[in-house]
Amino acid sequence: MKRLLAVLLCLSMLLTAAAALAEETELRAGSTLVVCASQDWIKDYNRKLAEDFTAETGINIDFQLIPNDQYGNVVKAKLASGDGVDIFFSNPGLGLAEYSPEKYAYDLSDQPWISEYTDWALESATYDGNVVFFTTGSLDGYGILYNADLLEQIGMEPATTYEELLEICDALMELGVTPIFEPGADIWHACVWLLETGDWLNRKYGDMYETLCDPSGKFEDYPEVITFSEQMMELVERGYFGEEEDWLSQKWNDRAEAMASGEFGMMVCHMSAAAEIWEQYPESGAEDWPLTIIPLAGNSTFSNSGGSMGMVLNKESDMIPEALAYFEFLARPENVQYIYDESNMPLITFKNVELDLPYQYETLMESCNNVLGPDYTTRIPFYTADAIGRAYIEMWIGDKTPLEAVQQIDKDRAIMFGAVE
Amino acid sequence: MYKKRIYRSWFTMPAFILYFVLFIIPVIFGIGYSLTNWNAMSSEIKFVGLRNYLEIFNPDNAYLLAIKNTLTFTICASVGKIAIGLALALFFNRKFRTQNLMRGVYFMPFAISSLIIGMIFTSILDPDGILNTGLRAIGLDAITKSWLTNRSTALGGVIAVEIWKSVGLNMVIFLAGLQMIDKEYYEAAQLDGANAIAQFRYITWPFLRPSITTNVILNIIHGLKVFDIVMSLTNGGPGNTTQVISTFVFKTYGMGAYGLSNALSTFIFILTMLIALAALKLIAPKEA
Repeated sequence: MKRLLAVLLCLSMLLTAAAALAEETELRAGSTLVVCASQDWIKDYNRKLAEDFTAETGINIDFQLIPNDQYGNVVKAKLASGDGVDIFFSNPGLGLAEYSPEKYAYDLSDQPWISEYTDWALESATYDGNVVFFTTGSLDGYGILYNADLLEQIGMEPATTYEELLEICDALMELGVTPIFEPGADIWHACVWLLETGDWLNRKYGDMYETLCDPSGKFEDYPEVITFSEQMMELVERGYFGEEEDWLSQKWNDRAEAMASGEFGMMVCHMSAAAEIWEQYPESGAEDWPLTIIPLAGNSTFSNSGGSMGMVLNKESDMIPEALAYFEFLARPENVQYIYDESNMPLITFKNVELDLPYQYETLMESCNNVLGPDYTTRIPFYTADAIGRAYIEMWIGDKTPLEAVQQIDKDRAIMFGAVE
Repeated sequence: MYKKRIYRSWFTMPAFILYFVLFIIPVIFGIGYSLTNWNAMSSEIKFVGLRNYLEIFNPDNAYLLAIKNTLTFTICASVGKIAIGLALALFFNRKFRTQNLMRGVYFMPFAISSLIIGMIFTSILDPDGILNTGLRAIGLDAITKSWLTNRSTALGGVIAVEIWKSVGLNMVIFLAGLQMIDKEYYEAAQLDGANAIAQFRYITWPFLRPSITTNVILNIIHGLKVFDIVMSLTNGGPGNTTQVISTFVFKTYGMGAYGLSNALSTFIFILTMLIALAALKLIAPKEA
């Protein structure tokens, strides 16, 4: 009798342990994964795949969208307060530094879909030796997208030098067209101009990225950065952005309508954003518009963000199995192909995808002679869109000189380094 | 005064403890952290004295502009809300049809979230928004502007929206004060031949002092803490033109500079306390 009791007790202990283990690994249907993103980053195909995932697993995906200019601040506040963020977006590589990755970035290195990443995707998805990003983005970056019809009217080709850019802008103004569409209402956009100097300057100096990874490294120490900023200022002073009141109220989300209308000759945008113009306005012919590098200060290479924004799993989330299941779902070959086909991206982070390279990719590679490399966001910490964009907006409205704007950028980075002694 | 107390004084302890734990302690901690270099990049917190406060008053930074904007906003919005609120209260203190409906209509904006109001007015004040469209329709093209992105009108636009939003609360407080005034005073004044202005000056105004005090204090406190209406309308732009102290608290917190962020918060707290106490002393009626 005693023996029977002992056996029964052991069995019940084993069953309880098994049940506990099962609870830990079993996905919880009816639960909700919270994904924080900026308002422009979640597209229809993301939502469609989220619905499919919910239908398959019963796990809901809640996309919490934050205005572009406030994304970084709001996400950091949510993470610091433990506000239930399971997955958040970040710039790849060292762009993650501002989100305290040692505290919040879950290590995805052992996930089965890692082996399907391309080499460049794997590099940009890695932080401090661990793979921490799930990304289905494209190798992408910012260049100048030209309205080809207007270029034809003035009889010019896309600029390869700053002087040529000025000539194009002057010719467009004579035509009665505002040369450059700059969405001044979206502060972050002002930071993408300088973003495109990263690879070029790092090649020129050899150790610029390494220097800027240290609190003592400053953009001010590079004359080309000052020249680039001065030329950015000159574009505004010459009236190429149009009236100050007007460009300050223009929004990034208005770009498709603005460029398709023919009121503007060009804008700084990335390949994926260019695709949205002809998606929304197929009659504009924008699929044949050239995209080239920004030629200010002699910039001659294409700085890119690797796989663009990637998803990071919050280490402090209590929905880790569900989040890993979501990533695994998205990484299925048919879903990756679906994302690529729907997104009009030039490339994608996964191998074995049927690619369809857009015209903008060809013109961009031609303009940089196929010389490309990672930009600041992936290689240095604290290239923060809001802080840098605001410094340049202040420069453009005359509150700061170009040198003061660059000094402000350095000062804000120093604060983020915690380097104020 | 009651000679015999009904309740013991320790009955206040639960409320006091709650207030102490949820308010006093965080404030003390915040003041303490403001004297450190606490930031998101390092787990080590070092005492740095008043360095964060020196950063606030450094003319190379934009914090002095934010302080100026905050004070401008507070003063202009308070004056506007009190003047218009009092005018509306005097108007609605008379009996007429739809009186209650109209009072509700003017109070309604106060009940709407500042974020929603910001989104609505961003559209209204857009260069091609309803306001400019209306002005163009009546031939006033010359005064149309991009109200929230023009540096000379951006802060004024924010103040105007704030007045529109909160004038209803001021009106309600004034109405409550007006209805406490005995009608016999006005009857006696009329018999003595006092006109409307004299009645307002010698009867209404003195009796309204408590309501004025309440509105002034509430408006000052609200103005010095303003955040949501500025963020939703201009995000502190163009550039730093409409930055206020609270938006910088948010920005520095987002950058991970928690010590500096706490210093800015502490500064608002001290400033609010000093100005509110001074206003109370100057404006509050002296008891006989």
